[in-house]
Amino acid sequence: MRKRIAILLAALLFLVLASISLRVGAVPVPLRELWASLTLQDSPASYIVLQYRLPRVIVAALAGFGLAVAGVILQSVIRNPLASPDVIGITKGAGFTAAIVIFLFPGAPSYVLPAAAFTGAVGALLILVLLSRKMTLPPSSFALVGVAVGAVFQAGIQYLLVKHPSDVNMALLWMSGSLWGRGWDHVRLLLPWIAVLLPVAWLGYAKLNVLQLGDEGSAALGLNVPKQRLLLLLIAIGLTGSSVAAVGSIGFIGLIAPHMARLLVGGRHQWLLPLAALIGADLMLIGDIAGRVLIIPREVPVGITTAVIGAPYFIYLLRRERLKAA
Amino acid sequence: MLRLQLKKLITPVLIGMLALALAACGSSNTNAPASTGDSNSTPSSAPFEPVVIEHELGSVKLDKAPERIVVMEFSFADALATLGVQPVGVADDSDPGLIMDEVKDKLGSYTSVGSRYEPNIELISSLQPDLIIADLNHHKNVYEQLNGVAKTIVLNDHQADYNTMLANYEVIAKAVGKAEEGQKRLEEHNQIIEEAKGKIKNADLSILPAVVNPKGFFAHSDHSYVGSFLTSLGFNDPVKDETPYPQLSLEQLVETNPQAVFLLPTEEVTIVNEWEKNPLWDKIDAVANGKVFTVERRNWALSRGLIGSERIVQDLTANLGE
Repeated sequence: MRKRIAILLAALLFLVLASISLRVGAVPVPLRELWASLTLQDSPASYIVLQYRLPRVIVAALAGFGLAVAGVILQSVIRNPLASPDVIGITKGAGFTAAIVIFLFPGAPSYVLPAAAFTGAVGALLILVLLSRKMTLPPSSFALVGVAVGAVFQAGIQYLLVKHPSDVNMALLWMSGSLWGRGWDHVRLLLPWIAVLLPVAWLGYAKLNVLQLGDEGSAALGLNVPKQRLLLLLIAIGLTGSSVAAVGSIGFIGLIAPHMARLLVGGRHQWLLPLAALIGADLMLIGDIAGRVLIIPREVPVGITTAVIGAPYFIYLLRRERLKAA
Repeated sequence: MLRLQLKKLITPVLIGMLALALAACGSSNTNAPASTGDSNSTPSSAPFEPVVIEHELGSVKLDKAPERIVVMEFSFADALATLGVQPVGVADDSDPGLIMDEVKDKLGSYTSVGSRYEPNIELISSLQPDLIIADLNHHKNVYEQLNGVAKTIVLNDHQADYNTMLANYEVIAKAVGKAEEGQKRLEEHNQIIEEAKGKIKNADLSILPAVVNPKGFFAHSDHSYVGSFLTSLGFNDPVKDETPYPQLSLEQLVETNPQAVFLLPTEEVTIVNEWEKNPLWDKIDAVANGKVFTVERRNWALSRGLIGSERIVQDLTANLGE
C-alpha cells in the first residue's frame, strides 16, 4: 500500500510539475491561454506552449525516465550503490564523441551531435564488455574497469577543452546537460527508445531481483548470470545513450533517482523501476523549471540545477535512513 | 479514507494526461508562428522588391521589408546600426555593456533575449519578429524552432574573418531592404580603411591582439576576426597558429615576440599584472619599445562589424600612427 502511494504521489507530482513547466518561463502564460493552447484553440501563447515548452517537457520527462531506469539497472547488475551511467564511463564516452563533433567538426549538421553521442555511449560499453572478458568478471572489478574507461574518455574531453579554449562554452553547455531548444525533433528521437526499452526493463524485474542476491545465488536459482547481465546492460545503454543524445550528459539523475526510490519503496524492482523513473522525470522537471526562471532571460543548464536541487534532498534521505537504523 | 481521496485526485489527473497526450499528437504539424505580426506598423518609405536571401542553411523569401528584427550576435547588431535599422531584440548575454557605445546609441531601446549561446526562444517569439538573424555555429540546432517563430537567416559569424563579415554585411543589408545604403556604407568604410592605412607608419609590424583575463592570455591569430583584419591592413601575425584563439604562456609569448601588443582585458586585473613582474616580460620587443596598449575588448573582439573595425583602425592610428 505504501509503495502504491509513493508511486501515485510521484506521478501526481510529475503532472503538477509538467503543468507548472508549461505555465512559467520568460513569457508568463495565463492559465486560460495555456488551456486554449493545449486544446488547440487559437491563442497568442500557442507557439510558446506547443512548439517550445511542451516538447521540452516531454524530452525532460523521457530523459528522466531513461537515465533513472538505466541507473537502477546498473546499480543492481553491478551490485554497487555508486554505479550509474556516469560512473562506469558511459556518459563520458558519449561526452567524448560529442566533444569531438563540437570541436573538430563545428560545421557538421545538427543531427550529427546526437548520433555521435549515442555512438560514444555504445562504444564505451563495447570497450567495457571486451575488457571485462564478456561479463565474467565479478561486478566490483567490472565497476572499476568502467571507472578506468571513463577516466580515459574524460582525459580526451579535457584535452579537447584545453586545445580549443574559444569554443568551450558550447561544449560545456552540452556536457552539463541542457534542455534549451529541445523540440519535437528530439521527442521523435527519444520516444521510440524509451517507449520500447522502459517496458522491456520492467519485464526484467524478476531477474534484477535475483541478481541482487549475488552471482552464486543467482546461478543457483538457474540464472545464466553473464548472459543476463549483458542483456540488462544493453537495455541500460539504450536508455542512457538515447537520453544523453537528446539532452547532453546529465550524469547525476542516474545516480540519485534510483537511491531516492530505493529509500522509499525498497529493493523490489517491480516497484523500484517505475518509482525511480518518475522521480527521475520529476527531478528533470524541477531542474528545468528552476533553470528557466532563475536568471531570465538566460537559463541555467538543467544538469546544474538538478544537481543543486537533488543533492541536498539526497543527503537528507540518507541521514534520515541512518537515524532510523540507529 | 485515503483511498477515496486518492481516487478523487486521480480523475482530474487522468483528464490532464489525456489532454497532454492529445496536444502532443496534434501539435507537431501546427507550425504557425505565434502571430503574423503587427499590421499597424508604418511601412518603409522605399518600395520593397521581394528578395530571396541565400544563407548557410537554405534560403528565405522576404516579401516585405522586415520591421521587427531579432539579432543573435553583436556583429549583426553592428551591421543594423550602420543601416539605421533598430532591432526589437538582441542576444547580448544580458549585458548591454558588451555592446560598444556607438552601436548601442544607434540601436535605441531593444529587448535582451539573453545569452548568445542559448538565446531565449520564448522571449524571441513573444517579440513577434518578422526576421531573425542567427549564427550558424551557435544556433543551427534550433534553426527549425526559430523558423517556426519567424523567417530566419543563418550566417557564419562565429568563425568569420574580416572578408566573411563583409559578405555577411551585404546579405543583411539586402535582407532589410537596404542593399543600396549598404553598398554606399561599404564604400565609405573602405575609404576610412584606406585613409587609415596611409596614416599608419611601418604597417609591416607584427602585431598581437589578445584577450586577457585572470586565467590566461588568448592570442588572436590571423584565423580570428581581429587577426584577419590586421593582416588585411598589412600587419604581420606573430603567432601563426592554426586555431583562431591560441592560449599562450608567458614563455610562448616571449618566443613569438610581437613588436606591438594590443591587450583586450575582460576585467580590471588580469594575468598580465602578474606577468609584468616577471623579468621575461621585459624581453618582449613590444614591451621594450613601449608598444603595449590596452584597448576595449568589445570594440575589438565583440562587435566584429564595420563600426567595430573602424574603431580598431582609429585605435591603431592613435597608437601607431603619426
